[in-house]
Formats: sequence, structure tokens, C-alpha cells
Amino acid sequence: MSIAVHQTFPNPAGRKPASGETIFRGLTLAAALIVLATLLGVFVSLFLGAWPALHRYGLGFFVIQAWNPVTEKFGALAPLYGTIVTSIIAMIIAVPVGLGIAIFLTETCPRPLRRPIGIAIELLAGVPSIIYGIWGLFVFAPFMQTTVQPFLIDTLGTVPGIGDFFAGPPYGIGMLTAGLILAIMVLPFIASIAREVFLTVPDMLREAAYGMGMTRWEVNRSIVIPHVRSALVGGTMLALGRALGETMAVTFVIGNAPRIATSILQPGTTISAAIANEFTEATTNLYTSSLIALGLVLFVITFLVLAAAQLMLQRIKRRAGE
Amino acid sequence: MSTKLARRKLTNTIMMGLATASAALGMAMLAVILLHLVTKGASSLDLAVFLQDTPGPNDLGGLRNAIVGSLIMTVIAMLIGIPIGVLAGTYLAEYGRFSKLSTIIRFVNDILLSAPSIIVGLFVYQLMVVTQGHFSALAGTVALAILVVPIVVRTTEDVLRLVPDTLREAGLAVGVTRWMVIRKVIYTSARAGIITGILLALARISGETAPLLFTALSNNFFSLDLNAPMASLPITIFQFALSPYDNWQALAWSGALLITVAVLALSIAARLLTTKRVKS
Amino acid sequence: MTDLLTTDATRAKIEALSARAAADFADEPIMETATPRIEIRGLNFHYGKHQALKNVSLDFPEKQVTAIIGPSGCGKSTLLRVLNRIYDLYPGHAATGSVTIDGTNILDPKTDLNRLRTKVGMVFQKPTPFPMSIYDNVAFALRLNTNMSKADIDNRVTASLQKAALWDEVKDKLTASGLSLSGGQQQRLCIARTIATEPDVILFDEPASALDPISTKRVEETIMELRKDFTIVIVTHNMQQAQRISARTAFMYLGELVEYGDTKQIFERPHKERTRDYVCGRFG
Repeated sequence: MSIAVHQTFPNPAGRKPASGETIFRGLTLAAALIVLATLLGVFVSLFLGAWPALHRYGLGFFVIQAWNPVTEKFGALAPLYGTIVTSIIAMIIAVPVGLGIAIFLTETCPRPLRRPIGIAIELLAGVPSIIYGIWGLFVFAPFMQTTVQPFLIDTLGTVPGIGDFFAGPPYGIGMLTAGLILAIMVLPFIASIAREVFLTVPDMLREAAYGMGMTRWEVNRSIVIPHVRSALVGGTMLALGRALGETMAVTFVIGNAPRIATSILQPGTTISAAIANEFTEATTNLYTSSLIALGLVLFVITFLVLAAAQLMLQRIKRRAGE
Repeated sequence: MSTKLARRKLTNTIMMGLATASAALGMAMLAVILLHLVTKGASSLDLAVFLQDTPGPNDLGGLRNAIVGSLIMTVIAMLIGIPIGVLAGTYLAEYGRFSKLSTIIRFVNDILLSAPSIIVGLFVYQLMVVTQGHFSALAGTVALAILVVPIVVRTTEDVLRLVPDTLREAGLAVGVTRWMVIRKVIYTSARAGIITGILLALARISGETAPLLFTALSNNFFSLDLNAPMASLPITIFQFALSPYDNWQALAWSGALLITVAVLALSIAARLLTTKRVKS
Repeated sequence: MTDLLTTDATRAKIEALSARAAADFADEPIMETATPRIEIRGLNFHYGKHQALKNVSLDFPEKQVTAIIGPSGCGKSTLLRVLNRIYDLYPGHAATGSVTIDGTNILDPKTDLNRLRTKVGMVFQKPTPFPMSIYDNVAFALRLNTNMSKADIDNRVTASLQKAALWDEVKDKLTASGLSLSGGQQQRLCIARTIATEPDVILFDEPASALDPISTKRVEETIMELRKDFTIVIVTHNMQQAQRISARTAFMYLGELVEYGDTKQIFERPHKERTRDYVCGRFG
């Protein structure tokens, strides 16, 4: 009972369509693997470059505050501290303001203005960070020095407990200025993500909430934001990833002082600013290696933050897909 | 009206007022930056900026070598990055759509998409500058190409997945090979979206500074040699802005304005392409 | 292995069915001379863990229209998608059993799918013009799969558009985009594109369900024209359509072939109670 004749379906045209297919398919796979290889390459090359410093200082590299090219004592603590503090300042300001902009754009903004303003914010999110840097250096830092910092020193600087954070002479540049520039830079990014996320909330849900007699604020606070919480957290973490690794916006205004000052008005440094400022001037192998080790630390931190952001965003994508 | 309702209404007014105020504040900040950029940048923007090379301190000059250097490195970076990005995006959306490998690559790509660009600079420094023994425009180009790839991969995959499966099936159903269906049918359908991604990538690398700092370095002279350091607009802005010389600072502002105009023009072009696609 | 699935019982059942159908259709002599173009034996189909077809065996006769009807989810579209192996696009979709077309089991992994699909064409539920000109839509597969000359391709395109009853409407704008046509015209363009490769079999997957009544009528007329030259299998949820255009009808339910026979018999004197319930509109 042989119904099934096992033979290849005849191909009389004589062409070999499979060869082009195989090559093209292979090329797409190769290109995809390049993406994977890039990430691995970054890890491996940074690790190899950082190895002399890591070998020399061991775990001490992460807890030593000193950064002295003359005596060749290098520790990551000061740049690490500056990176984290500036990013925290940036997020404390940019997240609520960004959410405010998104709520304004989806709720109170007059309808004809919503699209133009939304588009303007998205465009601003693409402005290169060096623009924020140069503006920070020439316009914002002098303004901080003459106006904001003296005011902070006179007011908050005298409050017991937190006064130390706002002490010292007004330099203009410093951790607070860098944090504020970072905030301005990530603001359009956070606002446009939040706006996009808010727009995914079904109108039905909003209408149902208004139908219960809730006020606008209550609808947004209790319905809209909780509904998209994980996407908002994911978007915020993406912004944090940007802030942590941002180089040009910070380098201009941080002061590049590799030390940990209590006052956020004082100059400091971040990992990326230290690398940008010192890398081409690093004279010894150990100096270069220490800077690469800083890069490795930055990469590991941003990798973890971005990976967490991906997981958060994937969760909402999966939910939307159901 | 009960006191509770009155309190709720008050809270509402305050919070929505704050939202409006934050929007006003944010927009004002960004407007102020653009305003400064235009006034400071335009005041010293003349023909010499395009025709003369970077001057010495307190000398006359322009940004010609930096502009040309940026154009060369950007164009070559795009030429390297686009094919890799489109092909990898094709793998994710087509051949490898359901594979485990794709899940990993998608994840990795999204990380690379937001990874600090200075890290890419360090990577290429290790990869090319250390091995070759000198800084070069080629190294800068590779660093920029590495930034192009994830953007193009992401947008390509996204737009290819918007192409309905029925069109894929229809292409295969007339007996044509998969790669021909992808090239002639799927790419054509997704063309506007792919070009949008390319424009976004172009906008992104136009202003990138950090990856060039220790790859292409910079060059005070006009150079077309890919094996030698090359000037670029962002690095020149960086160096000139931090200098104490007025003429250098003025050129830095002009360069910043040029970059911003270019980036905004590219972003608007990308946006126009997308809206056209939505309409049709 | 595949042959084992084709039990004698099934074969006997099919032979009995065919015999009965032939008897019922005595006034249509074409039935008796028709040789089966497609023989399906013991066909099972899985989407991952879900079994969409359960031991389906039937023949589609040459140069006739066979309709497959049944409620949604009954496996009728799946059956169609096995015949040109378009399901191969998706992982976890697997067919076992045998589907023999011209003496070849097309489920064989070694089958040249491109070749198979030029011989077994398919028209989809929604019109799927390629994003290119009307002319290029029809010439697409010819250019890629054959070494035909420009003049030959011109002739073939013209002939195909004529056969699909679209020529008069598009002859002056062959370079216009296929997407610029109306829905009904797009669907006839897809038919023209399919017959251009000179297939033996054309599969229609609810080809008119996205069209207005007038376009539906024109597509149906086109199918009636085509049955002279092609073996046609059409999946439809529209029972009037099945009655209008098909010679034979298969009724499927929950992945199984319930009843298969002459269209008139299926709709007027169904043997199975389920078939009767369905064609009388009691469920589905």
C-alpha cells in the first residue's frame, strides 16, 4: 500500500534557488551574531584593558577614594560617587516634572496644542548632549554661581543636619549643576516615554473612572499611573541608564575634581567625565588601565540598570499582547 | 458641598496646576536653551565657518576641516552600519523570528541601544587604536558604526513585523524563494519605516562626541586620510568651548548650532516619512 | 510510517463515500472520468500541542471545484494550508500522513517548496497585492522562477489578467501600483498572479469574505471560468457560495472530515446528522 512516493518534487527549471537563499539567510544570521559579538567584545576588551589596574589594586579599587596620577594611586570611589549622586539629582527632578508634562499633555493641554508640543518634546529628546553641555558651561553655570548657589548657601546651607550638603563657596560648576543639566537633558526623554505610555491606557478605563465621579488628578493618580506602572518604571530606568553614562553634558560642568565632597555645590567627577577628560592625557599604562577599569564599572552598572528596564518593559509588552 | 469633596477638588486643582507648571517650566527651559543656541551660534556664523579650517588661538578661521571630517566619518559609519543593521533586523523579524537566539540578540541589542557611548569609544580604542598603535579616523568611524547598528536593527525589526504575515504567505505562495519575498515584497512594504530608522541613526551619530574622543581624536588641519586622526565637529566644539579663547568659544557655539540644526532636520524628516506612511 | 496511518478502514470508508457520491451524481458524467489530482491519506496536523486535523483522508478530483465548509476552527483553512505547505513558515506546525499530488508525497521534507507552490497556487482571504505595479505583480514569479523572454512574459501577463477578468479594467494602467486598485480588483489581481505561474491546482481561502456582494459575484464568476483549466479547492463559510460554484463539498467539524460528497447531496440529502444541522444553519 504505497501511496506515498518519496521523491523530490521535480524542479525542471534547473535553477538553484536555494543558493541565493542560503547566502542571504547566512548573511542575516551573521549580522545578528555581530550584535551579540559586539556586546561580548565590549566586555572582553574592557576586562582585558582593566586587568592591570584590577590586578594591582584588587577589590581595593572600588573602595579607595584617592585618584592620584603622580603617585599612581587609583580608586574608583570618587567617580562612582559622583556618577550616582548626579544621576540621583537628575532623576529626582526629571521624573516628577516629566510625569507632569505627560499628564499635562494627555489631560489639560488644549487639544490643538497636544500634537505640536508632543512632537517638540520628542525632537528635543534627540538633541545631542554636547549641546546641553556647552549651554551648561556658558549660561547655566554662571547663573548658578551668581544666583542659585548663593541663595542655597544662605538658606538651606544654614539648616542644621542638611546644611553640610549646601555648604561652601559658589563655584557655579559642581555636582548640583551637573545633576541639573542631566535633569534637563533626560527630561524630554522621560516626558515623551511617559506620554506614549499614558496614551496606551484605554479610553474606556478613563471614562469608567470619570463615571465614578473621580477628579482628573484622582483618575491619573489611582487609575492611569498604576495601570502603566511597570512601563513607567522601565522608561525611568532607561533614562537612568542614560544619565549614568552621559558624558558630554556632565564633563563641561562637573569640575573634574576626583574627590568626594559632602556639599553637592562642590566640584566632583563622574566616571564618564573622568574618562573623557583624562584618557588622552594618561601617561602610564596603569593610569590608562585604571580609566578603562572605571569604564568597565560603568558598563556593568548600566548593563544591570538597562537589563532591568528591558524586563520591566517586556512585561507590559507581553500584557498588551494578550 | 461636603468638606471632603471640597478637599478633593482642591487637591485636584493643586496637582493639575503643578502638572501644568512643570510642563511650562520644562518647555521654558528647553526654549531658553534653543534661544541661547541660536543667538550665540548665529552671531558668529558666516561663510568663513564653512570655508576655513580651525584657527589658532585668537586667529581667524572656521570649521571646514571639522565639518568635512564629521561628514566623512558619519557617511562611512552609515555605510558600514546600515547593511549590518538591516540584515540583523531581518534575521530577528524573519528567519530567526521564533528562535531562542533571537530573544537573546533582541535583549542584547536593546542594551547596546542605550549603552553609554563613551564605552563604545573605549571598546574601539582597545580594538583598533591599541592594536594599530595610533588614533585614526577609521577607528572613529567604527565607533560610530557600532552606535548605528542597534538603532537600525531595532527599527528594521519593528517595521518588518508590522508587515502582515499574509503578504509573506502570498509571496511564498507564488513559488518564490523566501529571500526574494523579503527583498522584493517585504522590504518594499517596509521601506519608509526602514529609512526612518536610518535617519534616526544618522541624527544620533551626528552629535556623538564621546566615542570619537580617543578613536579619531582630532586634527587641527584638513585631512582626508582615514589612517590618521581626523577633526570632527563635536570634538572641536568640546575642545574650543573649554578653551579660554573668545574666537574658539564663538566657533564652538557656531558648531553647536550647526549640529542642532542638522539633527533636528533629520529627526523632522524621519517623522514626516512615518506620518506619510500612516496616512497612506 | 505515513502509510500506517492510512488504515484500511479509512480507505474503505472513502471508497464507499466516493461510490455513493458517484451514484448520486450520475447525471454529471465528468465525475466518473475524473482522476484524483490530490490524494490525502491519514492527515494529522498539529499547531504545537493543539491538533487541528485528525486523520483526514479524501481526494480532490481534477479540473473541478471542491468546496470545504464547516464552522470556524474546524480545520478547513488548515487543510488548505497543508496543500501548498505554507504552514512551513511557522515553527511547531507539523503535518503527518500523506498528501499525494501527481504521484509525489508533498509532505516529504525533501520537497522543493518553491516548485510545489508554483504548481499549487493560493489566493488568500484578504487581497494581498505586492507593493509594486500591476504588471510586476503578475510578472513577479515569472521573472524570478523562469527564463522567459520579455515578450513571453508580456503575453503571459496579458493572458493571466484576461483569464482573471481584470484585463479590461487595468490594460491602460499596468504600471500603476497594485495597491491602487479596489478590493475586488486586488483580489482578481491576486488570482491573475496565481494563474500566471500555470499551476495545476488553485487553492482559495475564503476569497470573497472581505469583499462586497458585487465584487464577490465577479470573483465567483472568475472561479467558474477557471475550473475548466485548474483543479480548484475553495474554503468558504458561505454555504450559498459553496452551492453556487462547487461540484463536490467536504464538511469538516472539529478537525475531522465528517462528510464528503457531491455538493447537491451534501446540501440536500446529507447522510450525517451533524452535516444536516450545519447546512440547515442550526449551528456554526
